[in-house]
Amino acid sequence: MSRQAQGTTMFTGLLWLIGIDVMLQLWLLTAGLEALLEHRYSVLVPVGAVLLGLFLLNLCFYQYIRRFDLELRVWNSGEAVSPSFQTRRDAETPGR
Amino acid sequence: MKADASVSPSPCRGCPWHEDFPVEWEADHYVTRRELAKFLTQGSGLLAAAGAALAVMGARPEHTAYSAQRICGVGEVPAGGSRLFRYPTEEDPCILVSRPDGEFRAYSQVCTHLACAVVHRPQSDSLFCPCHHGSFATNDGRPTGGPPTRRLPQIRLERRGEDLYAVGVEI
Ligand code: FES
Repeated sequence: MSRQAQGTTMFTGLLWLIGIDVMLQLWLLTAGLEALLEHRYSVLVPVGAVLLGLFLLNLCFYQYIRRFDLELRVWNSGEAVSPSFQTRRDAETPGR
Repeated sequence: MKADASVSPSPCRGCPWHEDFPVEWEADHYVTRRELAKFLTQGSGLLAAAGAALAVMGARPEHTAYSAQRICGVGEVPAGGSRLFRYPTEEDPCILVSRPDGEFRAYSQVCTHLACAVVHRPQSDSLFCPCHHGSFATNDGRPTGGPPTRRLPQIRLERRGEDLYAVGVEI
């Protein structure tokens, strides 16, 4: 499987995960608002914490996608890269 | 974005507009999905910010110090009757109900559906909301019909001699 194809599969998977996370966040926020209207204040702090946690998870996914994408573009362009990346590239594509 | 050699060529290579938009189809698709991921992540951030606002509201200390307020004398409301009053502030309409068994109950008069005022229906021993025909039980304020799904806030009552006092609110 080429690195591009790997990236596409991973990208699709992560996009799904981010989408599911956002749906979960929407649901949680609705439940939180409902609790606020019912004056059940004790659940609001946990709801806020989980919403924040899901956002951080999404941010990690997105950063991973961005870095992978950048890496792939550098990989394909043959531009100068960091030494560790250079070593990996050389190992994977010896004839480059 | 630089066009990738591995992607299939656009079917419109050579079209006049291709010079202005030299993005291959698959590469274009790739960019769009990355943008979608970015958009979703930003949306997720907004939702988290809203959640943080909710958490701040939840962490705020509640002002539950209610003062006692005389409503009326016990004999002033006959069994099956009701009386309106305001508690804990002048902006909070409430209703005192004398149930057929002689017990008194008091609730906020604000319907938990869309805030119309509920009225007492002695014939069905219920609190009725005329706006969308919602109804609530008089013994505990839970919704028994129509659109409301949340119970009416109950006013805590205390009998002091021959008088009835409101002493708190149970939400
Ligand atoms: S406002 Fe009371 S039922 Fe709708």
